[in-house]
Amino acid sequence: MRLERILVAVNGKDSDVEVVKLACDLAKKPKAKIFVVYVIEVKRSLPLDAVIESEIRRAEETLARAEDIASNRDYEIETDLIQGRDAGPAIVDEAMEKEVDLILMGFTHKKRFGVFNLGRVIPYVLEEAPCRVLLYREPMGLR
Amino acid sequence: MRNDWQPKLGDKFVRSPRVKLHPLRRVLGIPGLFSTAYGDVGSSIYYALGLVALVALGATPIVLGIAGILFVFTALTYAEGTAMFPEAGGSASFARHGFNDLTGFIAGWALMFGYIVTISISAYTIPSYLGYFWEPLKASPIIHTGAAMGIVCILMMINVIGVRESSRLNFSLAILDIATQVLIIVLALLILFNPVVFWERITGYWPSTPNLIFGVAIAAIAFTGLETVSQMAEETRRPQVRAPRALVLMTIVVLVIFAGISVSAFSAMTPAELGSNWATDPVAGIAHNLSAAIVPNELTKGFSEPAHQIVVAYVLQGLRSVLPVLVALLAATILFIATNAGLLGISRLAFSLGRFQLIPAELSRVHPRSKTPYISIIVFTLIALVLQMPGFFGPDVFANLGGLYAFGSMLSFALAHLSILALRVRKPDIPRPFKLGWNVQIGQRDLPVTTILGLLGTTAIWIVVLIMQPYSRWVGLAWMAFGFGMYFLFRRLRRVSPSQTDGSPTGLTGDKE
Repeated sequence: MRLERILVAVNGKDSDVEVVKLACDLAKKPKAKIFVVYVIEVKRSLPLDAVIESEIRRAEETLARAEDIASNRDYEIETDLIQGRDAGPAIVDEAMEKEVDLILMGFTHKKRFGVFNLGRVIPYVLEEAPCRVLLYREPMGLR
Repeated sequence: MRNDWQPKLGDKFVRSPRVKLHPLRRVLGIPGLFSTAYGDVGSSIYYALGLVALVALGATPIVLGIAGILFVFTALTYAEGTAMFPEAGGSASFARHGFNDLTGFIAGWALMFGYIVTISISAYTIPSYLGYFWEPLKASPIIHTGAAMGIVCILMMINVIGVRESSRLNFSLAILDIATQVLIIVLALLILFNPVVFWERITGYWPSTPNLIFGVAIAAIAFTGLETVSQMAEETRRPQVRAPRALVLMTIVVLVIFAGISVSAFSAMTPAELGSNWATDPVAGIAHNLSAAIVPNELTKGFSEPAHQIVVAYVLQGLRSVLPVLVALLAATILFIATNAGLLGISRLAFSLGRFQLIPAELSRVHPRSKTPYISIIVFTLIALVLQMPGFFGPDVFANLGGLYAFGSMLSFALAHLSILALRVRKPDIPRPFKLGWNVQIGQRDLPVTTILGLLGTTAIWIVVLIMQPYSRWVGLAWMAFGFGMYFLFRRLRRVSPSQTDGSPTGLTGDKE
């Protein structure tokens, strides 16, 4: 499997830590470049470039944490913050622009109305992403 | 590796400031821009026709034609302005660049008024169409107005909570809307149109001169939503090229459909009926009369083959039953979406004005949990509800709302034209990706004829509304006076000159915890 460029989509959840570590491990041997992206979803009642302080703060913290994790593993990553109406298309668009070979995403086991649920973003990326997609699920019970 | 993924409608992105200043990630294309704007402009057909007929009677098609010409001029002006400044704010943005913050505020505040009236009038029309299913929704002023206010309240709650809307659904509805209207036009032309009757209905119901003049002013309501393309420009990839194209495409489609629906309406009923029984739901009136005129046995006489007769009669019978229901449901849905679009538009505009310190940033405050500009949504919705309240006491509210829309939008459009002219004089060297042709040279400057005519037309209409409509005059002027008071006080508190020129945006206008 060719692996030159990896995109890691983070969202401020616990799974981010393991996903970034996993990306570093995967990237090390082929010396692949890692891009980490955080998408802020902006409601349609606001302009797309609206600056929402709390969201930006959370995103900055998440990306800074990703940088720290990578740094601890002696790896350099490139981080980006994107604002979009929906996270799914924003991640796929970023993957297209960066011409990545792999999108890496993490999620926590959750149920909705008693049924296992992947949410909105992951199914969209699985359906639309042109490249490989690797999902990391947190062990059950961890939040 | 498959790489044919294309962003779909509504897939828009922007880079936020991580390390360095963020460039915009624009994705919306011409179809996306067109469908969004058409959803706004196209919805006005469901009320504008009846509103104009209420005033202009037999001159309705002519009056709509005159307003249509003005719409073309205004759309062209917006095309040049939007290509120059692809940012939310529309006429407020042009005025701020062309003159100063004060002029930008006047344009933006007037535009806000137009948006509020659009919310009121779109919601007010919905119960009329739903009256097909339950008569009191149309016939009883109390139930009608109560239902309209309820719809606005529901949308307020939805937007405060921030429920996700489907852009694909919007696009599908825009297509279904155009298809239904084309079907109505074609059927009306085939079954009902008679040039002699059409001409008699124009001449026999010719309005008085004041009504004719006021009719032109009211007809401006047919073109609500022109601002949408401008507002969406900041989310558009290559807005310099795509925004003008979307504007031109939308103008053509809207004019063709409006012309067709006007002819259909006059073929289906008299202007007096259109302006009375069907004033608030004119397209339902067309569908009703069209449905009554479809007599399958009569219309299939031309077919010699019995099999053909049976098939065509079956289709016609289906159309006869389905058309009124389809129009009622489609109109209610599209008007509901248009009301929501008005709410989204005004909250975005408020955010944009707040960013340039044209209105207090508190209005743009974002809720820490729902991440929506809840204050602006609640405040402007409440004003829209107040504008609907006279509906409890009589039917005049409909015409009055039309006058109020003309007051706000014409002032805003006039300032847009004036700003484009000012920019040609003051900043002739600024890049203009879309530059209007047909210029006259005044001094050393090229001034576009369409913009000059647009300025004269919109100003004349605004003055007509001011003189002829006491309700619009006083409510509109009160709105502007309140705005001025707020603007000067706010600027004074902020220690910013009211007439500062082309100020830069404030850093943050988001939520504060």
